[in-house]
Amino acid sequence: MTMATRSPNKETGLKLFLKQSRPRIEDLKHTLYLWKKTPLAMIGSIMILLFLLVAVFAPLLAPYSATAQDMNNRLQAPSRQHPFGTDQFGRDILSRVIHGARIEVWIISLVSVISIAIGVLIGLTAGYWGRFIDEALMRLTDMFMAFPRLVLAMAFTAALGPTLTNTIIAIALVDWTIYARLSRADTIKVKSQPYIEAIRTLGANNSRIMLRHVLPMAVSPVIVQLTLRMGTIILTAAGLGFLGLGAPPPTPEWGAIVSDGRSYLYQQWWISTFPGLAIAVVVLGFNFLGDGIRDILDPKIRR
Amino acid sequence: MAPRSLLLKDFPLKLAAYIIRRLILMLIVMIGVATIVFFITRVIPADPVGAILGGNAPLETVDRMKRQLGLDKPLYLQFAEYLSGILRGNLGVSIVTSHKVTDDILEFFPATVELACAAMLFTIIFGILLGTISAVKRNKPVDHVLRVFSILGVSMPVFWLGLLLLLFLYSYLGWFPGSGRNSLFIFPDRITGLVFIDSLITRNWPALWDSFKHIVMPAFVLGYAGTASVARIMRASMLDVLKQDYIRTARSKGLGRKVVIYRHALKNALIPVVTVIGISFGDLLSGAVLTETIFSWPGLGRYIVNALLVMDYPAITGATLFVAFIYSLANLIVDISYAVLDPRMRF
Repeated sequence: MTMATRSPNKETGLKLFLKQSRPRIEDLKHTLYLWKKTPLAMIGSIMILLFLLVAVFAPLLAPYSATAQDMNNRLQAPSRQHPFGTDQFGRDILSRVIHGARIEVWIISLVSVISIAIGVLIGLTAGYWGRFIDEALMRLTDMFMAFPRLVLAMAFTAALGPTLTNTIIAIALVDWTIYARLSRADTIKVKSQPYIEAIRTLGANNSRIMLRHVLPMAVSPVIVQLTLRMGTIILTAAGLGFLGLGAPPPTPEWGAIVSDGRSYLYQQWWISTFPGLAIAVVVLGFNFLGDGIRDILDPKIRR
Repeated sequence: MAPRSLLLKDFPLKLAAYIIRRLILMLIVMIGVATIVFFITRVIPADPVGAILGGNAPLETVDRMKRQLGLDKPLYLQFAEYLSGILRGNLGVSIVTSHKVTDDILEFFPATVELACAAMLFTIIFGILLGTISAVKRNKPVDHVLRVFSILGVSMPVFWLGLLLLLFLYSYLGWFPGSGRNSLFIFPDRITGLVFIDSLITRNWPALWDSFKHIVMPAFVLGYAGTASVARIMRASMLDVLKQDYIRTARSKGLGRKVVIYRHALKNALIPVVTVIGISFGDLLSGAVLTETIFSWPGLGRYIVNALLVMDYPAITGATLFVAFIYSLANLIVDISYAVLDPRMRF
């Protein structure tokens, strides 16, 4: 009976692993093939790749500093020196947008990690233990879902104080609910499988079953959902920044730059237009990818 | 719909039980919502009164303010008073407007309702139209173009699209007014607070036309974002329906393609759209916050933003609770109408 957990025959671990994961690799190859055949997913991936590259190489790409003021060059229209123009403090908009990419990447990654951690923890616990715990945790989820997302995020940032970290915490506190629901549903499905019963008979305790056997099975829909939601995360962060409830000035968060230009809109259109365009392009990239992924994973079209 | 007649006998009873259960659940959720709002306004902020008065306020002013807001009592007492206040419909007095918060909500809510309805109308009409065309022309160039068009709607930040429209349609072309619900002196007498209804009742045609011109841009900005999800579901649902046997039967009877699509398929393909409309209602309220800010629309969203920026506690509490209540109610109504529309759904 103890053989089940270790390799049952003479084959070495690596070989066995490769053999066992062959169907998975085949499946991955097929996914890759579908991905190549889905133009939207391709275009989306390229856009996101460019966005990540800009964020990584921001200091090399940006011609000027993101925050240094230059009062002699206030409110300059787009020109060869300043392709996106300058704002009311003479800061180069292009440089602010390029540096802003780093902030957006930072927001997306932290929000994803925190909200998935909270969501999966709650979903896994609720689904695994069931009964009263499930009921209580799911009602808690409903309570957070009873608010329009932006309104709750706004209230959290306003209460915590408008800083970048608090914006991230606020968005994560709003965003975890969907992961909780997804991972709960999958936990319930996996929990009743015979192999879980088998592992339990072998003497595995609850936490081992939850972490080693249920969690890996419940995590993939969460990852898919995450790619679909990244665009929304940026839009929420930008919305908070625009309302003055995000990162404080002079942080070059894209929503905040759009807000900077609002009072100059009719004469100096470039201040608001370019950072907004950057948001739109990146979110478009994520949505193209998400749309493509939905097609790729749709079992009806898959085979 | 043969199964419906079989179920019809106990259908109303089951439906009633379902509605009652959902109402009880909603009550529980609303108590939780009130608790979350209490945490946000009273527990998380380190120095609530300092945030309102600024750092240099004299100590006695701070104390008076604390007493006035009830912040000098222990938290559990505050919470008890807070809950009993809500149950009695007393949401306190706004620090900024110094009106009762309930009055403020009644004052600002109609504008949001009007904007949300107009945006919803736009979303539904365009979503269904785009989704149907996409399904009929599946995988043809038209399908791809419409798909990109609707994805563009969810990708553009609402506030940015709003600013661009202001720049072109208001500032450059002057086609539409740039802010508010009405021009300065063309306002109907207030009866319901909904300017469209009020102008109709009072037969104030110039006011009606003026209100219409004011609502076009905000409604478009707010509605465009929701179009994609409706169009996506509509396309999938339509494709599904078009595969059904009764569609083939209708076609083989010799009915024209258009008749089959618009008379037979469309009606059945609409059912799943109802759920998305419910879900997108929340996005609509979120988007309304930004749209109202840009177009200076005197609605609840702008009221919440203004309250948050100065930490006007009673106003934040009241307005947030109210919005959460409306949102939950909308979802409940959608779920119930879904249950009525599709009796196959298990209760």
